[in-house]
Amino acid sequence: MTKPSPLDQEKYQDIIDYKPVILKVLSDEKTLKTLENPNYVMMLPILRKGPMTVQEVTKAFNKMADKKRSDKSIYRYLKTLEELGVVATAGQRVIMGKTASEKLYMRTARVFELRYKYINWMGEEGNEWAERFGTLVSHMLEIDQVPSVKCIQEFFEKWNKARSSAIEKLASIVPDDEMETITTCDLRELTETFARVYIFSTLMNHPDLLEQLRRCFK
Amino acid sequence: MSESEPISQEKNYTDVVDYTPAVLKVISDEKTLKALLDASYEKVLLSLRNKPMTVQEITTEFNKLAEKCVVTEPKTNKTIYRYLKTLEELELVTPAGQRVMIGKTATEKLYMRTARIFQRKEIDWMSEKGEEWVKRFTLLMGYMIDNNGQKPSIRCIQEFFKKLSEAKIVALERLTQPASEDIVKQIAEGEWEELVAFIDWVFLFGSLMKQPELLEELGVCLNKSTPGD
Repeated sequence: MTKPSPLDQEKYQDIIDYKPVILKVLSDEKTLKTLENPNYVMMLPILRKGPMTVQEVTKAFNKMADKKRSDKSIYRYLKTLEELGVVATAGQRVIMGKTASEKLYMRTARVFELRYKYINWMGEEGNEWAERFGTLVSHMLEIDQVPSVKCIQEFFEKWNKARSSAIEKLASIVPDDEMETITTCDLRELTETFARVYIFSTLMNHPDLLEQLRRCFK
Repeated sequence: MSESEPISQEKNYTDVVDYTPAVLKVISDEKTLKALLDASYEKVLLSLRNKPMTVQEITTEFNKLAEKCVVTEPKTNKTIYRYLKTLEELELVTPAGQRVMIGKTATEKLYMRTARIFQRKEIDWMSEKGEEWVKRFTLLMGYMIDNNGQKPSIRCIQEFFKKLSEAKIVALERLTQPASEDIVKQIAEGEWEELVAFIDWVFLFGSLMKQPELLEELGVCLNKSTPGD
């Protein structure tokens, strides 16, 4: 009598035909709303380990969550995230000797930047924000004269450029295992940590930027 | 204190308002913060940004705002009333008086926000949670700046963030003084999240320009090497 081998000892081969990007910005309201639900958010740290089948995701999920979920529910979460472009079908798991293969899921990006709140400082739309910024900062610095909108916008244009390159650098430089240790289920908190890293590394690596802003207020 | 506005010719009612909202309220309670982030509650608060309103008026304004955004469906007076009750319990909204319809004995309740600006309280940087946060920050910063392979001091960075948020509080408090009324007017309008983001930028750059030594302190904490070293 031969003992059936447990599922995870089955011989299989993963055929992957998807390559996630390094960084993806999520700003769509529906996506952000969905990612406030812990059930959906949990999919992201779980899928950091690489392409997985629904069953594997379910297993990992139930190890972490207080409330167990069925494959069917997990499939639904993955499907929704796929529609929102957060998760992708990445290929197939071919099990030796079986005709049916299993779908594999993957994150669409290594790092997701959640833009809950995004201020557009540029263009006509940004005029008002830039003006308000000038007024308020002058008030803070106890200066009577309000800087020109143009000066503020020029600063933010440079600032945004420097910050974008910091975002790209961080997303590509941090190794996977490190990424795993800092990924929590609170995406908002993580986003805020990243945001502060972008801000302060930009400030420290480009001291000229703050100097440029200072000149607007003189 | 009771204040009634003159009856205008187009209006057949008078609002009797007996509440003055605070300029600023700092929110630290988790439940309240969650409500501020909720698309529906946020829209109620946004509807109430300018003046006291009746439930009917809030509903109309709410549905106008909801039309612009996909995730919120139009709501009935009854639902809006329920939202108001919750917001009242969280002390974000309050009954502010009555609307008297000329010639009618029944009046309508008016609602108002308890403050013109709601600001989120930062975490306590010196607490355990703050330390955990700073550790993550420091780990990531290590990849971004050249620190000569030195180990940064977590405690020192906690102090830096504490000082930065203290500078913010000082600046916020100045805003609550009567002389700042014009400034408050400028920032009291807008969606909550957008406003919080905007105010964050103002206080960040404002504080760093006002106290240039702060950024230097962070550099020392992180053992950052200066260019040319």
